Amino acid sequence: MKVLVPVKRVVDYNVKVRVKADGSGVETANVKMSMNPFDEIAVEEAVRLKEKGVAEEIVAVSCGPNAAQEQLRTALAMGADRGILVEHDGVLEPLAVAKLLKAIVGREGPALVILGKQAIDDDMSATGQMLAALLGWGQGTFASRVEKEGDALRVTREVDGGLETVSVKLPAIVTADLRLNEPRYASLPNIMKARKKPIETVKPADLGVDVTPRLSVLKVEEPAKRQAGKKVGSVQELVEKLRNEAKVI
Amino acid sequence: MAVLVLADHKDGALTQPTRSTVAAARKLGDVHVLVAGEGAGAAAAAAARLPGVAKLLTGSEAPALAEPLAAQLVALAPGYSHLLAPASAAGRNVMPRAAALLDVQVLSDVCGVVDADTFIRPIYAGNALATVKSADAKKVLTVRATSFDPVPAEGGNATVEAAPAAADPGLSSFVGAEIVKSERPELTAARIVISGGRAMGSAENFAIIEKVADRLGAAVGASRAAVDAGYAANDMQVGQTGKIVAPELYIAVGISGAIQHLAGMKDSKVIVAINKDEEAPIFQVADYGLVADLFKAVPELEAELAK
Amino acid sequence: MKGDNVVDFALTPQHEALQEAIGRICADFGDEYWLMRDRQGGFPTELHQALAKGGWLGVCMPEDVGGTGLGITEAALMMQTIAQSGAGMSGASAIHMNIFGLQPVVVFGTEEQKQRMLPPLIEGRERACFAVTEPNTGLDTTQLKTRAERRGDRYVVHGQKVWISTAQVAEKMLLLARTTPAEQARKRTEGLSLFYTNFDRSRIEVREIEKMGRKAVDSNQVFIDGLEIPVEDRIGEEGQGFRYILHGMNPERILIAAEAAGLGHLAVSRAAAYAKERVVFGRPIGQNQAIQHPLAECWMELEAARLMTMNAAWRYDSGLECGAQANAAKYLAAEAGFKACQQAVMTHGGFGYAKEYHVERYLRESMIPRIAPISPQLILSFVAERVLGLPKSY
Ligand SMILES: Cc1cc2nc3c(=O)[nH]c(=O)nc-3n(C[C@H](O)[C@H](O)[C@H](O)COP(=O)(O)OP(=O)(O)OC[C@H]3O[C@@H](n4cnc5c(N)ncnc54)[C@H](O)[C@@H]3O)c2cc1C
Ligand SMILES: Cc1cc2nc3c(=O)[nH]c(=O)nc-3n(C[C@H](O)[C@H](O)[C@H](O)COP(=O)(O)OP(=O)(O)OC[C@H]3O[C@@H](n4cnc5c(N)ncnc54)[C@H](O)[C@@H]3O)c2cc1C
Ligand SMILES: Cc1cc2nc3c(=O)[nH]c(=O)nc-3n(C[C@H](O)[C@H](O)[C@H](O)COP(=O)(O)OP(=O)(O)OC[C@H]3O[C@@H](n4cnc5c(N)ncnc54)[C@H](O)[C@@H]3O)c2cc1C
Repeated sequence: MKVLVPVKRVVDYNVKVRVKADGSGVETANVKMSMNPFDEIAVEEAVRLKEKGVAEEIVAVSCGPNAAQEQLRTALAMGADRGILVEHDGVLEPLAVAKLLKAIVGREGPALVILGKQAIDDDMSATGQMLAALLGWGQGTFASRVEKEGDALRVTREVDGGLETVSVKLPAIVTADLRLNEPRYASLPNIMKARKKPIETVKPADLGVDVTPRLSVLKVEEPAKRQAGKKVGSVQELVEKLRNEAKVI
Repeated sequence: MAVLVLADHKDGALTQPTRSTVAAARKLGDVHVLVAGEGAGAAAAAAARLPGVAKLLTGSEAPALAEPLAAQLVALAPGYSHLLAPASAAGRNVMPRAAALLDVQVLSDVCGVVDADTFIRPIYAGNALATVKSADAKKVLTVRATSFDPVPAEGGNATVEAAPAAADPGLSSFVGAEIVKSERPELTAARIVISGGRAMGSAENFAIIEKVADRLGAAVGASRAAVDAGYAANDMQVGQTGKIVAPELYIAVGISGAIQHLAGMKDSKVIVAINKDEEAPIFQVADYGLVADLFKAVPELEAELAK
Repeated sequence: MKGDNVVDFALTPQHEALQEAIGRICADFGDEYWLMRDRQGGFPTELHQALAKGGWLGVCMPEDVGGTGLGITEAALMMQTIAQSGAGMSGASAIHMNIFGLQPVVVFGTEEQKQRMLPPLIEGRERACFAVTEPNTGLDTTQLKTRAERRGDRYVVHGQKVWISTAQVAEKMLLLARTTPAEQARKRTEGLSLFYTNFDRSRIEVREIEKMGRKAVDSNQVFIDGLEIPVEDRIGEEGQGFRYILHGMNPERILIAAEAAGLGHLAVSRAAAYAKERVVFGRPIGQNQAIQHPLAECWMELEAARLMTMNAAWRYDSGLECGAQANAAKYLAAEAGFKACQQAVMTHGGFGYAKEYHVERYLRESMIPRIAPISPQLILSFVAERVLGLPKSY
């Protein structure tokens, strides 16, 4: 079967983001960009499926600016066969991305789409579920294990307090959680091969998708700074404050 | 128009995040609650008593799966301006699906309600807060429970109705569930860290800290003085030359707060210090300081958390 | 604006991808790992193997022997990234020789030799040491004494080498030895031959030299008593070994320059991070110009050296003469790297002297690119003679 893996270009995991002084967003100029870490896990899972002979072809897709080609190259270096860039410079919300991906699915006909469970920039954790809805496919979200069983996938999901296993009919959507696998490092020969693999570029208009955002960002601010510390009189008071004031336990 | 909350429940009881979500929902209108999934009956009885809940809808008692549940929400949606759920694994699984079916951009992990169209949500792992206004006719959101004080468990008296059944698209089926006992998390990835210092006195005494750690799902750290004394393993050292940690909660027990230690934990969101010397420098960075003998305070803390 | 006549200093997306990928491998080897290696010694096998597995050791080996066929530019970027990751010279030296040391085999070896010698090196199954320096000849390489006598289909070698790095662990040795007595050679630069052969420990004794830094990568006295080398292991013609070795020298200078610049940048970034956090006299020490300015100066000098390094690499890869640039790069980067490491220790105050803060290790390691493979004095002499046209002084 063919597997589609969407990958997003995001501010690198190790960068400590700074809110812009005018409150319009976070500073992204001259900041290191990388593939969303959950998407790397998704790519790795697809590559393992290919190595097991379950997947035949892996197509990586990125919706974003032209520079997102770099993230596609990373996916290709990890083992994806070809890339598609849906080029768009403005904001793309998960709903818009899901619509773009639906159009790509329509053209490519994959039996499985594996996405990261969440992008570490907008933290929406929504694109996979939305794509599943638009396609009318089943979803195995927050997956920590995926196995093919006949014409279905057995997906172990990370849920609050434990694990849950569902069987999802193919074609299906899977979103990758942290423990699904540990992504490989691209080898030098594969990085070189990746430069020669094809990347096709399309525009949202070519796919007939309206990507106008539904949300307008009124402001972005830093979370409240730490208050001046205080002494508490007893263990009871401490626990009460941690529960109800700081809300950390 | 009323707002609909999809409840989370476990073992026939509502979760606290559900009560927090109801609190958020009350800022938006009359609250109706949908309870579905295994054990929904008992949970529905509890939900009907939440203050401010006008109507309670009960769905199927089959194990909750995203596809039929989203279909059910979509079927109910015309009667509501907002659909909410806790930002739990369950809520985050189903709400984006329902939103897409309604052609609405979901708002995940909302931590503040400004008005009916405008919400605050964390981005970049909580390093920034975005205030966003939705242009969608209907809003679908998941709610960060810790940001809203939960409504009390009792005080209301809602009418109970069965929700009209929605067809199961039959795309997936439930196989099984397994509750995993959480292992102690890795120091640099843990949400909560509790560290002991030279005052612990011995490796055996670290056990009292470990008990608290297990209660909180926390990782255990140590000062260099505790590591050097052999009370704790090398890889537990927090500090400039050890591990750098920035958990949501850092508890320093019997640690004076040397600058080399502070450099490894000062970016923690909330810092608690337990130290018998009220002049100890650790208190200068602590949000909550408790001047006490640790051998008394730490067991008390464990007991209090068990309550 | 980009055009045919515009000099472009930007890294290509491919270069960035290489840096990123190498950086990730190195990230698995953190400060703790290098601190332990520096205390206990022991070859960083894990890093060597991880790089071999990723195909990195073949970065500039030809594709027909399993390499990637990239240039010295890419190799330099790779070595800088390794040093800068925190591995310093402990990491860089562990693979340095394998990256370009066998260039004479690539250029002058027969097809059979290339297929036999290069793939095991690229795959990380074999490691090579580079046996040139001798105790009595120093930098005057044409005067090497170790002799290889031809006996039928083999050579028999007697002599001593010194400072030979990785000889404790290497399976192979690239050896420069005398096949014609100096007085009989037609020219000073002839009479030496080059061999790539098994490191036969039954005929070679290796004694580690206890040294100032880089304990992880051993350097040794090597005593050779009757080592037999089959003729098939001689590279190129007999008597031409010095010429062949010269071929790899400019690339080696470029690599060591890149490593020194990486080490220096590592030191500066650590020092800057410390200066931001360390508060005395009620403010971060980094707010004082006495702390800021020297670090800023170090950064500028490192960047200048790095650009000279990339310039030399680009010239080499473009087939242009690069001797002056390669030597200048090695000199500038070694000195800038040393200064940066020293400044990093000083910025840390007393803590810079503690091993736990790592910068003292960098300082000890930063001496190596200054001394080896050629001293700063000889680089100055070379530039004076070859670039400025002054009379030869050595
Ligand atoms: C090169 C170098 C690197 C270093 N790197 C690090 C590092 O990475 N991390 C690090 O932590 N340190 C580091 N240090 C050490 C640092 O300077 C301090 O010495 C160390 O942090 C002190 O540890 P401590 O707070 O546990 O001990 P102390 O400073 O001795 O503090 C013990 C505290 O326990 C309190 N106490 C005693 N008995 C009790 C009781 N019964 N109940 C409650 N409180 C009690 C005391 O009032 C005191 O405040 C480094 C030092 C050097 C030289
Ligand atoms: C850590 C380390 C690893 C090494 N690894 C290897 C290895 O793997 N293989 C290998 O073959 N070698 C290796 N070397 C040896 C290195 O290449 C030599 O040390 C270097 O070439 C200098 O030779 P020497 O030590 O004999 O110095 P000498 O030649 O004795 O020089 C001593 C000093 O005198 C100066 N000097 C000499 N002649 C002149 C002159 N005419 N004018 C002005 N100044 C002059 C030099 O610049 C230098 O400062 C290594 C060295 C070190 C320190
Ligand atoms: C081997 C060794 C032995 C020692 N033995 C002893 C001993 O026996 N007894 C003892 O008491 N101490 C001892 N010390 C400690 C030594 O005296 C201190 O390390 C020294 O005073 C510097 O303090 P610090 O390390 O905290 O540096 P910091 O005060 O943190 O200074 C760090 C750097 O910032 C610079 N700096 C700070 N403020 C300013 C400013 N306003 N403007 C410009 N630059 C500034 C400093 O010059 C320094 O370069 C020893 C240290 C070492 C390394």
